Formats: sequence, structure tokens, C-alpha cells
Amino acid sequence: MTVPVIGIARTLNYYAYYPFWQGFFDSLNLKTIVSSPTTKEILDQGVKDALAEACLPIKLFFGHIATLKSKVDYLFIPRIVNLNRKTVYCPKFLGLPDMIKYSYENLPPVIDLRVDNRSLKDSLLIASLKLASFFGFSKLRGFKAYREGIRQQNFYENLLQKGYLPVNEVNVNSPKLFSVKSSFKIALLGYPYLVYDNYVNLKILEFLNKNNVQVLTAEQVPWPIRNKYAPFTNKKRLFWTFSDRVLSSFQYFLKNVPDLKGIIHLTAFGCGPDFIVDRIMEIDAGEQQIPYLTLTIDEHTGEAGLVTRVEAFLDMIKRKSR
Amino acid sequence: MKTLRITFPYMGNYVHAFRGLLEDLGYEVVMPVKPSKRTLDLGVKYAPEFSCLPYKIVLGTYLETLPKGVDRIVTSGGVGPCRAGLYASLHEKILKKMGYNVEFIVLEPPLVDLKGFYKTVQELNYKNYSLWYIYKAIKRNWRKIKALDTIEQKALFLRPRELTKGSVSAKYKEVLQYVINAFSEKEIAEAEQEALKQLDKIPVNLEKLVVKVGMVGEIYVLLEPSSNFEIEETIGHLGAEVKRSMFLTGWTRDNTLPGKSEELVSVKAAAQPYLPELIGGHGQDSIGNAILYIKQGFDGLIQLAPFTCIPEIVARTILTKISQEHNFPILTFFLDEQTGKAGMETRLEAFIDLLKRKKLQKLERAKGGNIDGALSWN
Ligand code: SF4
Ligand code: SF4
Repeated sequence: MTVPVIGIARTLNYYAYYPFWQGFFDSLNLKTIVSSPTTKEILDQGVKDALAEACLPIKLFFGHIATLKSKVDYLFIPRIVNLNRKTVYCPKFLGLPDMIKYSYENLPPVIDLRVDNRSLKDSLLIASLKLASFFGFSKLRGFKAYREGIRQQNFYENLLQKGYLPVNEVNVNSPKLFSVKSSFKIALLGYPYLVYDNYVNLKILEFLNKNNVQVLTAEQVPWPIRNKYAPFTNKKRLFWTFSDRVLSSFQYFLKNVPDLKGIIHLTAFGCGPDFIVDRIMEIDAGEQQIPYLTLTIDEHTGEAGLVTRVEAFLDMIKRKSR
Repeated sequence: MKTLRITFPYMGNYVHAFRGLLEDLGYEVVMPVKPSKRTLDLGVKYAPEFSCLPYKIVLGTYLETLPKGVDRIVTSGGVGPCRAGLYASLHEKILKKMGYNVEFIVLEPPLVDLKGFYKTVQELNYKNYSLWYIYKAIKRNWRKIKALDTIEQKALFLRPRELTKGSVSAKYKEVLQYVINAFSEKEIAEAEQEALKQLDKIPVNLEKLVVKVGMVGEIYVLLEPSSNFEIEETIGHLGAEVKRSMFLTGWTRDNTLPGKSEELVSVKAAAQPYLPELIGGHGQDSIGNAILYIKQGFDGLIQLAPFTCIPEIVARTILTKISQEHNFPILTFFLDEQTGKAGMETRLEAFIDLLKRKKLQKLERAKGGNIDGALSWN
């Protein structure tokens, strides 16, 4: 019997949760293919296929799916609604499988398992068991695969906290790039699918690292700590998981990193939640007199332009601290 | 005790009922002005560049009202995981930074958090009126909202059928005052009757063949005409009847009573096969209503959404497919501060023309090519 091939897009949830699914599928000896790192062609395809008004990352997701769909037996687009029992994913994530299904003809079957820990505490486990049984595995095998996934995921999150930068590729077995240690600390905040995608971030992450800047990312702050820093005004916290992650780690850095030199917010054109995140950070950073730079990425942002702005930002900080 | 001065965002005719209720609670109401170009300019100046249009208009409204001296702002939270629920918090932050010290009271729908709702109502009730008194005040003003909705729907029906262009709008503006000025439930009911009677006197052609357009989308741009360039009036004048999917009486009911209004249950059910997930805002309703309009034989659909509106973008992606599958024309307007009335009218005209042509063809086919002379567009 031939082993079915499952396709996973190298964007959105990939940078956050891939190790779980990889551990899970590997344990069941199922074959997965991850789309190649983002290229101009992938983005162009996405721009063509997605709604013009959609945000850049959604267009990118469309592009990745377009390159995958003819190569795989299944497309894996789980509907991850909630994992931490506190926040949900951006509404566009919630509608992802539907948007894809109604936009492409001749798609391989889409696996759109729903995971919502608010209504069902172990919904990730239950979803995993369902998925395993869908491919003909026993509950026990499914449970083992789930455990393997959790193990990989925990391992990954530990690596991230130690400064692992999964640029373009999440690789827990041989992690390549780590954030350098230095007294020049910059927080590079944004959604993981922006910060770690080398095409999207226009190589800023590598640029900073090469220039001996210690890059702080949202993923370096462990969840229990972040959770404490989440509320902003009126005791409200942001509803969306990744936005909440950015804002809470921002608040943590602001209060706990005395030699924080500046903050760069990476945001995508057309993003819904980000105007809230961005303005709150801008006001709060301003009050603490921490230099703040917003970089908005769109389909046409040129690499040179962005790096120049980052260089100018760093120069400004250096002048200031002299 | 000092009488507090309160204000709220502008939202269609409903502001008159909000005003009534807050006056009943012992406030001096600082009425927001109807959003204008100036309002939007103010909002654009102080709001984040990529915030959505409703956010900018509401901030602009506050900036116009606050200099008149305001102690409190009351506004609604939002339903589900969408940005509206965070509007107030960010508005507050921005206004504080600008030096306005005003207290925000955010009403969350009681369905989401009944205890929280009760607490907010008590906070609003700073003069400590009895619950019975408050209940009666709510009931009275709720009646007013219903009356406002009823006559608005009547105007929407009559407008494409009027013999003299503009006669419905003029009369409608006049009779609205009857309801606005009424106080007791009895007076409101009488005013409503009188308003309907007056509207019925406008010369119309009830035989006229009229295309029917459904309208769905995000709540603010649906309910506040200045944010959508009075699109309903424009469509009416183009000879089409609009049916809006959302009226406060329908919407609030869905969010306040655990029983849920019957109609909305079926909207959700209709959306289910296309979008099983509640995505916040009114994205799912837009899809469900589209399906219901198709089933009811409507000729087309208009979707209104602020630019970058998350749920409506998801909805639009799926509506494209629905439109193809059912051969059902759908026109979407993503509104922002750059949208112009003229451009919008041109697109609307072309769209309504298309619907008319399609409808005629369908009728011709049904009648074997012989179209009854009584059926005319004029
Ligand atoms: S969070 Fe922003 S960038 Fe990410 S999918 Fe949602 S709208 Fe797009
Ligand atoms: S529904 Fe749309 S316009 Fe309303 S808050 Fe959400 S994103 Fe903004």
C-alpha cells in the first residue's frame, strides 16, 4: 500500500506549531511535505488567487497551498480556534479551510480538524485520535503519536526561549541560527509567520543578528510569564492569540529588560488586529522613551528600502545613547 | 448630586432612543453630531492609519463632542472575537494621551456575560433608580427603536416606487420627528401610526417592476448611513428595493435574549455548509443571509464592509463561490476614507442595470418571449 502524502504550508501556523504535527505524523510513519520557503513566485500566485483586500499573510498562504495542491494526497489545514483557553486565533485563521475550499477547484481532500480547548479541554488530543483513526490507526497508536508531538513541541518551545531563530525552517533536530548575545538589545515583535519568514521579513532578522544586535522575539518569553503581562487597559486583553503574544511579550520586555535599546514592530499590510497592537505599543514605548519603529510589509516593499530604515533606526539609537 | 454629562457614538436614528434612555437615567446628554467630512478628517488624523472606518468615524465623533464638556462615554463592546470589542479600550487610551479625561462605560451584550452586563448597568445608574424604573425606561425606548425601524423599512419599500424622485426621503425625514418627539409608549405607538399613514399618502406606483437587493455586512457601516454615503437612498432612487439584513431590533434581540430570534437561527443554519465557524463580527451572518436572500428570490446582493474588516473578508472569499454557484450577482464595497460617493454611484448604477436586465430576461423566458406591457421599469 502506498503511504498517503500530507501537505503542510510553510507559513501561518507552521512557525508556531509545526513540531507537534511533525512529531505526530512521523510517529505514524505518514509522509508529509512542507511547501518550499516563500519566494516571489509563491507570493505572486497568492496575490492572484486570494481576495485583493486580504492581508499579505493570507495571500501568502494561498500561494503556498497553490504550490502544494497537486503534489499531495491531502492538504492539512486544521482549524485551530483556541489552544490556551484564553485567546482565539485571528478570524482569518478560523475561516482558512473554508476560504481555501471555495477558492480552488480540484483540491485534494482538506483535513480541517477543529481544535478548540474552550469547549473541550483535551480537544487537541481528541482531534489527534480522530486524525489517527482516519488513517487507520488504533487509539493507542494515536495517543503515542500525540505524545510524541507534544514532546517535540515542548522541545521546540524550549529552544525558542533559548533564542533559537527558526528562519525559513523549523528544525528541532539541528537548529541552525540562534540569537547572538550582546548588550545591544532590540525587540523584533510581530507574528511568527512574519518574523521568521526570510522573504517576508526582508532578511531583517539575519541583518540584525549579523550586526551583533541581540534580537528579542515574542517567543522567547514563556507563556506563564507572558500570561501575567497580557491585560492592557480596563483589564482587557487582546482576543487573538498571536496579537496577545506580541503585546504581552512587549509589556514583559518593557518592564524587565533594562538595557532594551529599541523596538521594531513588523506588521503586514491589510492586517486587521495590528492597528490596535501597534498603537498601544507606540504609546507605551513613547511613555518609557524607548525608540519604536513600525515596519509595514506589503507586496511591493523592497529589501533595500527596509534595511536602510532599520540602519537609520539603529544609528539613531547609537547617537542617542552616546 | 452633580448631573453628569454623557455622550455616545452616532449610529443612525437610534441615537434618539439612546438619548431618551440616558435622560431617563438622569444624565445630561451631549448629543453627538451626525458624522460629516469633518468628523472623518478628525478621526483620520488621530486614529491609527490602518484602523477601520468605523473606528475612525467614532473617534472623530468623540473629538467633536468632547470639547463641549463630557464626563462619560457609553458605548457597546462587541460580539465575538472581533475588533469592536477592543475599540473602546484603544479610544480611551488615545483620548487620554490627548489629554481628555473621560470615563468609558462599555456595555457588553448580556448574552456574553450577564453578570457583567448587570454591573455595567448599575454603574450607569449613578442616581440609583430602582430596577423597576430602569426596566420601564428600557421598555419605552425599546418601543421607540422598534418604531424607528418600522418606518425606516416602510421608506425602503416605498422609495423605488415613488412617482416623484425624492418625495419619500423628504416625507420620511419629516415623519421621523413624530417618533423622536414622542415619550410614552402610547405616544410612540400613535406617532408610528401617524408616520406610516403619512408615508402611505405619497404617490407611488405599486405595479412597478422593482428589483430586490439584499444588503449584508459589518454592523456600523450598515446602520450608519453617513458611513456608507446613504447607499440605501441611492439604491432606492435607482429603482431598486433594498432589504437590509440588520436592524437593531433584530440584532439586539439576538444578543440579549437567550431564546434567540427565530430568524437568526436559520441564518446560522444557512451559513453552516459554507462557514461552520463563528468568526466574529457578522461574517457568518453575511453568508447565511446571502443564502436566504437567494432562496427568497432576490435579484442580487450588496455587501458593505470597512476596508481590512476581518470577518467580511473571509465572508467575501466564500461569497464569490456562492455567487458563481447560484448565478447570483454580488457587489462588495470595501469602504475607507478614500471611498467617494460618485465612484460608488457609478458602480451601483451598473450593478442595478445588470440586475434589471437579468430580471427581464428571466421574465421573458418564463413568458415565452412576450412580456406584459404592464411590467415596466418606470
Ligand atoms: S493576524 Fe493580521 S496578518 Fe495575521 S492573518 Fe490575521 S489579519 Fe492577517
Ligand atoms: S467587524 Fe470589521 S469593522 Fe467591525 S470591528 Fe471587526 S474588523 Fe472592524
